[in-house]
Amino acid sequence: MNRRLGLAGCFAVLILAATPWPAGAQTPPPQFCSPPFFVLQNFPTGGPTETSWAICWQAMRQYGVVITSAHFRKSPTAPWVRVFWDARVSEIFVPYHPGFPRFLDVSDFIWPVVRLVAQHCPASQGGTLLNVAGSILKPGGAPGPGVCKQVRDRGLAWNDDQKLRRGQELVLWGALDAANYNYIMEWTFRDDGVVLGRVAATGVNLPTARFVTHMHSPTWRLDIDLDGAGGDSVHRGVHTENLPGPTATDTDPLIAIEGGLPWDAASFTILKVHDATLKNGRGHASSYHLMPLRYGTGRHQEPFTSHDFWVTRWHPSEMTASDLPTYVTPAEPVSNTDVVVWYTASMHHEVRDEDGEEITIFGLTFWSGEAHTMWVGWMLKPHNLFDRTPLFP
Amino acid sequence: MFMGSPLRLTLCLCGVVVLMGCAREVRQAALPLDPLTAEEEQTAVQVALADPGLKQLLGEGRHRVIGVEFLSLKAADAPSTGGAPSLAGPMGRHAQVLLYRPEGDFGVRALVDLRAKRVAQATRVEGPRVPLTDDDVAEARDLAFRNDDVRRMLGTRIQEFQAEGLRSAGTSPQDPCLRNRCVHLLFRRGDLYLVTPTVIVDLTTRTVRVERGPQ
Repeated sequence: MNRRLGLAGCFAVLILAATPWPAGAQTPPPQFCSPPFFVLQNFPTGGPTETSWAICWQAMRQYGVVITSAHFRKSPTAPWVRVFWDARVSEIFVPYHPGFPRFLDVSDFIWPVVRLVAQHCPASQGGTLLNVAGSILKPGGAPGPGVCKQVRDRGLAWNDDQKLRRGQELVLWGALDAANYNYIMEWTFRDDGVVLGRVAATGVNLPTARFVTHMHSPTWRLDIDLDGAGGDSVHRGVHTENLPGPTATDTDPLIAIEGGLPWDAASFTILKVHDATLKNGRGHASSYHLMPLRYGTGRHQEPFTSHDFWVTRWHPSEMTASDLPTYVTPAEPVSNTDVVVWYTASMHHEVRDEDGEEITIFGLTFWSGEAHTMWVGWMLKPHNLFDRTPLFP
Repeated sequence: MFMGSPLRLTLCLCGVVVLMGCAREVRQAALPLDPLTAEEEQTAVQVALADPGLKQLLGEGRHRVIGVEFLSLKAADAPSTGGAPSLAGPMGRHAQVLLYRPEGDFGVRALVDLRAKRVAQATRVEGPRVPLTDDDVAEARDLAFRNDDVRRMLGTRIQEFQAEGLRSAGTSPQDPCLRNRCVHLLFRRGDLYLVTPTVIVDLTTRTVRVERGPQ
């Protein structure tokens, strides 16, 4: 009887929840996961809310920190807009200059996630440690901290003489324990709707190849579902200087079928992800622009490294970057559908004395030292999502 | 606040009781994007191993679980028009189970629908595509510690060394690791890693190769 009453009450609450939200009222966040995997972050952290992120994350063996859902709200009365269905580092390719070894540091091994300690995530830096299952962590054992959440000042959002606005950001990060190396995986969600993805390599140089220069090339698999899963299209942003004349032009041709494409520094190549119906208050089509933050371009004999960007149609089994050439054969249409974009950037690790030194103990030679963090990543920037300058009076 | 309105107070208290009951119900069931629970992982493996199609792919003999991974599925090509597409959530609860069979050096990946308790899809995975695990490294370490060259190299303090492993994928057509399941072992004492020699353990042939060449 009590259970029936309880269920009836639950239904009543659900009916209330399903009632259309009154115009002008704050819309509740979409919540597909429980705390601590659900993070609702309102900005600014002090004062009335202007913008918000609602995020689900998981720490997974092999993949590290994965974003399993992300929605952004550009004002308290605006609807929530889905940005990610899933975002993860799909691969980290590590080829050494002599031709071997060649590691696929995500797909070669079911690596654990580093068990964090208080110094990783100081409260004085806006940090909060988030617990995950012990089976994911190294060292293993009881559930414990695997992800650090930081909410922090991000410097100037804009500045005009003595008028300015400081911005804020939410950062979720964790570290994959890949034997001698750690990979720091960082996801930053800013108050202006921007998302940043970065990976750092740090740790001990491969002891048996400690003086050998190599690369660490993460490939991100970004399932950007702008305003929902379907109806998305990707355009390639291309800048051209009309030399020898003084003018320049920008074009953004549609990517109609699956495939890879290179990043070209002189063209400022970016990917523009559009939704078929999402528009801002001015009636302009909204999009998110994937903009590389990189040092150079790693090209290797492995076919998946022949391009910096790939665009594929969403298939649940397609998660592995090194299989990209097979995913796009035969090429399916990727216009006005559910698309996934992939992006690769490379860290060129030229070994240096600062990485470490040899020391001899008991007649055996050991390597001592730590290569400091080296970062690479991308920015995902809203374009015509807001109706006006955000974070502006 | 509730003066003169006992009925309102009663209704409010009822509401609180009902909401507490709801919260208890909600706590019992994982939300769609919550990580897999230990019970769900166990169920996924049980469902996979009971599936006739998977059994056929895996065959008889020794096998082990490489990993159980959370997977969120969506209705393919859901149109963006109508409703609130941004608020559409995942379909059900799914896990991906990867099993490995050393004999024959191959794996089978199963997509398990946890609510329906059935395997939605099972596919063969070739050996070089099956990731290594801590179990592989432990096995490689045991083999290496029984190898005379390795014992001579590490000396009497052999048990003080921890082993970590990376995949050794082979460097030439003559290298058996191009086809076999091989581990490149690293030995460490505390924070220090031993720099030579290179120890490669072929788990398929259960042999240990020690390379002392210049690095």
